[in-house]
Amino acid sequence: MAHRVLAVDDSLLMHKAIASTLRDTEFELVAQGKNGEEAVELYVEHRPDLVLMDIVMPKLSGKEALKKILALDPSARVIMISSLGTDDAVTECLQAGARRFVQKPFESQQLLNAMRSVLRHP
Amino acid sequence: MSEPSPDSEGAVAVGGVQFFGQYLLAKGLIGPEALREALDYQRSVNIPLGALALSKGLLTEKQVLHVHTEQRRSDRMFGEIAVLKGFMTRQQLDELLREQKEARVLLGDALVRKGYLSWEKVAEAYKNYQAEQAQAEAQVQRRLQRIPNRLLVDSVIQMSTRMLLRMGGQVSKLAAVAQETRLLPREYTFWQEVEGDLPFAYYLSIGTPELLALAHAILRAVGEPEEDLPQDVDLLVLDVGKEFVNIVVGHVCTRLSHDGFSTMPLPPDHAEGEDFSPTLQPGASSINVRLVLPLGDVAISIRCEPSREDFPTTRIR
Repeated sequence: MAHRVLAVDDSLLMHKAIASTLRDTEFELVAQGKNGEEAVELYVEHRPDLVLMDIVMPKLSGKEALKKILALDPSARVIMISSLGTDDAVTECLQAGARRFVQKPFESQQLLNAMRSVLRHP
Repeated sequence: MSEPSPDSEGAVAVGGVQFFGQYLLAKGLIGPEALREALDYQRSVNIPLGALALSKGLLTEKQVLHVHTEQRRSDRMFGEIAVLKGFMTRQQLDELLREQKEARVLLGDALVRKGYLSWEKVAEAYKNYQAEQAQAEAQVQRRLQRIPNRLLVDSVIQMSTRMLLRMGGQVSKLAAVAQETRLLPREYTFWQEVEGDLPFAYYLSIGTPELLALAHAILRAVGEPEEDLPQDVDLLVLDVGKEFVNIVVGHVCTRLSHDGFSTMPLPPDHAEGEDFSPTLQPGASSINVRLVLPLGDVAISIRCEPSREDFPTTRIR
């Protein structure tokens, strides 16, 4: 059975990149959101196996959405995908409970590796 | 004393830093059509190193794809990665590079083959171009030395040129840098503000052809079919512009974090029209940069607080 994925990014380009990466793989893109608020709503609605989350987004940042999702479901598996690879951002997200941090621009294989690795270590 | 703007500098007879094609255009030796045709011809006949290695049976298709994938996330050249991965030896690479160089059609060759210029004219123009470029590049470097907030400015220039190449497949050169109070407008401006220890705003101002070329390259890389590539600036193209700026700024912030600065970007935005002028905080300063591309250019403006101008280039952690 396919692993269900929620992707959250305010960029249409990134949604295209993620959809193209997941095509013909064991992952199924079940929902797409464009800000942190939608991320939380869509997580509750779909309960995906994996969340791919941007950091810099309008309304609610990815870091805040990550914390809210983990408060609702401490077993949620969230991978942060951001161009912002600062020490602070990476540390804060990982300490908050994100499983991996992938820096943009990413390669398909790099993202798939991170997703598979997270699923192997529940 | 205010510096001349990068735009006015570009209009000076010497022409500033530019690619050979632009030099020929500026001197009136060829027209824009000839340049476009010659660049297309070059692209069609010059064999990339991966294809050459494949045709010689030195690399498999899978290895070429592997190197291409690796190349998109590093600044290393194709051959360098292939050697590091153990796909070929240094000696094999040197031999391939020599062969590629011998067969390479340069812009001047292409213009001669297409009948736009004679060999003599190309040779004479290239000699003058080289002399003027050395002068222009030295002048830009001298200007750069006098620009405040070098850590930020250098990071912005480095990440902008790197992402133009890595994401947009476009080689660019630093053509001008100046401390200014106005933005150099193009048809579209994308910007992002950054908060934190070193607050700044990054503006990328770009014309329609350059924006479309950038968007096409980025969309092709994410698997968008050729027939679906937008022919005009639409919402998707504007989104690509914003995301490009977001990625450049994210990498600038990452670079600054290595020097101990904690920064956080806000979501990017865009504006249309050449009369766009962002509101500048009273006393804020702006550093304008012009990057030339083989066809066209982009303008970048970095706005920062005046109090941050005298930041040392490296901070003690």
